[in-house]
Amino acid sequence: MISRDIAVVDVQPEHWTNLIRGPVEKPTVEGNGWLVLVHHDNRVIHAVLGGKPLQQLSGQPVDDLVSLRHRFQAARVVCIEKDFLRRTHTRFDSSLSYDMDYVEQLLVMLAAFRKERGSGLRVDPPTPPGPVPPFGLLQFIFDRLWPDNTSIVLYVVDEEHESLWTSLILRKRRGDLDLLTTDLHLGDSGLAPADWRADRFRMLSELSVRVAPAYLACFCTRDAWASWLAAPLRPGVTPDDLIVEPCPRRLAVLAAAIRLLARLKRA
Amino acid sequence: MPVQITQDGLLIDGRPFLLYSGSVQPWRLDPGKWGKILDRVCELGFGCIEVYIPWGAHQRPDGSCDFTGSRDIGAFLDLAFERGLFAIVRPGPHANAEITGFGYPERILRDPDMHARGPEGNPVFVPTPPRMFPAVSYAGDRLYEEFGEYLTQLAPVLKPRLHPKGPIVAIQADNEMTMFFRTGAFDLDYSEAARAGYRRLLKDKYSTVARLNRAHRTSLKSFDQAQPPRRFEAESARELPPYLDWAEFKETHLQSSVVRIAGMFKDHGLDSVPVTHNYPLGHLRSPLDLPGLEQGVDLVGMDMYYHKGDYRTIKARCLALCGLSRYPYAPEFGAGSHMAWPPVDLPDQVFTTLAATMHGLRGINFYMIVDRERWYGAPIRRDGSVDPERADAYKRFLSLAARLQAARRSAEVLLLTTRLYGRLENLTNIFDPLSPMALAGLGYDAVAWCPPIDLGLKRPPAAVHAALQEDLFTALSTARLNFDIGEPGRPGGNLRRYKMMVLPTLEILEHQATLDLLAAVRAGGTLVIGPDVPRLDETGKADRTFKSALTGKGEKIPRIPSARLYHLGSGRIILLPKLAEGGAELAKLFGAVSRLADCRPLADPGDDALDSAWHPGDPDFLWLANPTGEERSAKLRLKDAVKLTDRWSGEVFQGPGQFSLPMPPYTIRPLEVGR
Repeated sequence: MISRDIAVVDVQPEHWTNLIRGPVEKPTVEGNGWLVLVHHDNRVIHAVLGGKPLQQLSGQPVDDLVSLRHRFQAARVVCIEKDFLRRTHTRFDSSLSYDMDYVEQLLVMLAAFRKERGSGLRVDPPTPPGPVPPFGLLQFIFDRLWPDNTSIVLYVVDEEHESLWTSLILRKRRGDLDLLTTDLHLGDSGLAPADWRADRFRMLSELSVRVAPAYLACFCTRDAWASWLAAPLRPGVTPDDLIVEPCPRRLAVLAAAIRLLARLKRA
Repeated sequence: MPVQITQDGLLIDGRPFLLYSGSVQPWRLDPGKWGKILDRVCELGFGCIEVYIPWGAHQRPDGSCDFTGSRDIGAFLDLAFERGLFAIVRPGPHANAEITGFGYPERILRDPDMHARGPEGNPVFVPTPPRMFPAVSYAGDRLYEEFGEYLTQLAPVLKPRLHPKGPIVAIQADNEMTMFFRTGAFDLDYSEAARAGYRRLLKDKYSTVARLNRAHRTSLKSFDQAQPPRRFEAESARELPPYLDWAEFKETHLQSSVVRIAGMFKDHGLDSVPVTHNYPLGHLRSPLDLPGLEQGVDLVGMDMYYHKGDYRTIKARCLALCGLSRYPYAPEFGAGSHMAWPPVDLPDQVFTTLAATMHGLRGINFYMIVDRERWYGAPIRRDGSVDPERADAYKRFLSLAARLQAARRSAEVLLLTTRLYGRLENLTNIFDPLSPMALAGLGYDAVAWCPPIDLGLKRPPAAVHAALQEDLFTALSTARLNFDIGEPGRPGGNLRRYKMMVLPTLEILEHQATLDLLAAVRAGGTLVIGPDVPRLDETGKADRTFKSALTGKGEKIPRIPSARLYHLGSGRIILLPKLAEGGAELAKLFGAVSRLADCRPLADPGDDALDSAWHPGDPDFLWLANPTGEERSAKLRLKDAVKLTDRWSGEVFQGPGQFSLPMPPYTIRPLEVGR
């Protein structure tokens, strides 16, 4: 899924920073951060709350994580048995291979943690249930959703300043994401922000020559991007401010199905 | 040697050279653009570049090397030389540089004999994208033999380009030698070669098996039976030696690996320029040992990749460099960022660069000054164009740095920790094998990872010492004291440079540190200790050296009722038995104690949220920092000062004597004092 030789080039720094930090300032996390408990025979031997040691829990039982989370206003309680990290490290270090895809390697690590869930590792709020998916299945779905030798494109335009707020161009080859770049990669042929709705056709044509034909391209205003991130299934934006084109049929059907399921769930 | 390291940077043919450089990675750039890129480097004002020559990027699978095209390192260095640039080269073996596999050839990573091992004999993976890879062991000979073959082919390219015939003025041995950030005490390396190294250390230290058995409380028949510990299980101070020996082995192993590589450079004729090394981010104590490693190579710096919110960490690292290194230098200082890290923007870069300079950093290699694959935010793009805003910022900084050289920060106070406490912090880490480096990345410090293991003493030494270090750092800063961070009992020690030394002491302290401290006191220094008077050495045996230096009951000190003053030689020792209860009162306490030692406080900007530093020189520089996200203001009284000129923003503040300065969020002001 991720090429070991992935090229990450011409990343416009502001575009990347805006993409990662998001269009609106994230609210500060309420509470005291994470409460991490290390226990032996179900008694706390060390506790850390928000990075600071918490002496008062030493020797206490660790049965009720929910009440501990409320009592210390912790965002999350992570309770680990004293040898949990040692066992888990040995388990995944012994199972990893340099030949595995990075996603597969992460799944191996996740599986090592999951194996301890309930005994060596307890978390509140609990992590999602279910087994770790096999890598082969993920690769199969990945290949079905995104064909080789095509690209996926995201452009967010700051219309007020007639500038690009962020851009991202990804390419897939031989089953792997092999290029991550931004509009900077296109040089003078990048998207003209003042006329982005019309200019996108020219830009996509240039992209197909320089990188790969777009399989999925999303162009939107900064406000539309913020709305979509806040409510992906009901973004409440006008089609003129959020243009997804080309949009492969299978992805459109999938998105519609997810929206329908969400609506049914709400109903 | 025509190139030497001094406390001000490099001395090249007798002329001082400010070591402000930037990283360029030619094999990742179009050779047709090298000349244009180097022209931009010169236009920004850089006089030196740093060049990576990764082993894996140049050596082919059959062992031959490729020095052609984009890998023609000789041609690249010649272009730099033509432009009057100096160069620091980094041939490895470890490069990192965000390369898959960190720059080792594939065959090294795929060879099980090359792998470091965990306690169960398993390989140990470096969890970095886009591919985790097995950590390489530096304990055996194979790695060095393989690297030697590369060096044999590389040296003929580099040797004719050493100064003065070429641009190369320094060469770096390896990179961030910390076993790939996995510095946990019981994580790695347990390979057979590493175990053999541990046994050699035991043999050198104890000479006979009988002595080893007494120290380790074992009944071994030979050194060959000795096994490194796999977890910390000591319950008393007398049980510490096997664990401390393992910690010592890991320190010496890292050092000797770097020194061995440095020796290989010399063996290959690369012997006329200094050899450097860099320590990575994260916890700076055991197994890292900056003064120890500077005995084997010419200069060891600390890498810094920080954001605006990391002011305290930046300050702590710079003060440690001032106290421990012969030249406070950052071999990698973030200019831009890697995609896998939280983004760093230009305001971050400006703030962190000024903050580090404020706290004594006198040389920087900016990493990177030219964008390349897997890096963004450098001032020069890989096509040779510049990012105008970033280029302007670096031009301005280099101009400021040149102006600042005539002023130098000089601390009067030294905040101390010791090897023993550092080793105990690592050995008792409750989250091991998660390393202190990884934990630091998660925002944890030693206070968080040291459980209260008391070892039969009044107070758990690692946990209490770590907490006191944090408290004292805050207290000395709040008391406006000008301090460095250091270590007693170390080679090249410089305790006598300071008027006052502060060491949080517990019942246990290593003997050599005790001797070093008492010698500095006898020579006229003031030593502040507490809460306990050490009574045991590092092996847990009774050691009355400290106690016998404190004769009588000690004098009372006005306004510090609990403190006791002891005279020793020309100096004195101040014992603060209630140091561990200090809390917010510690700053006042140290304000009073520092007056006894005749230490002058720094200028007080009238707001505890603001920080200051003083670089006396010609002219003097007063630095002010607002490390918060809020608007603040500074009110200063400076006798004899007529005006203050902010040499970064260009603002001028008129006096005389009294000054009021707005301090916007995350601002550093280098203020030239006009008299």
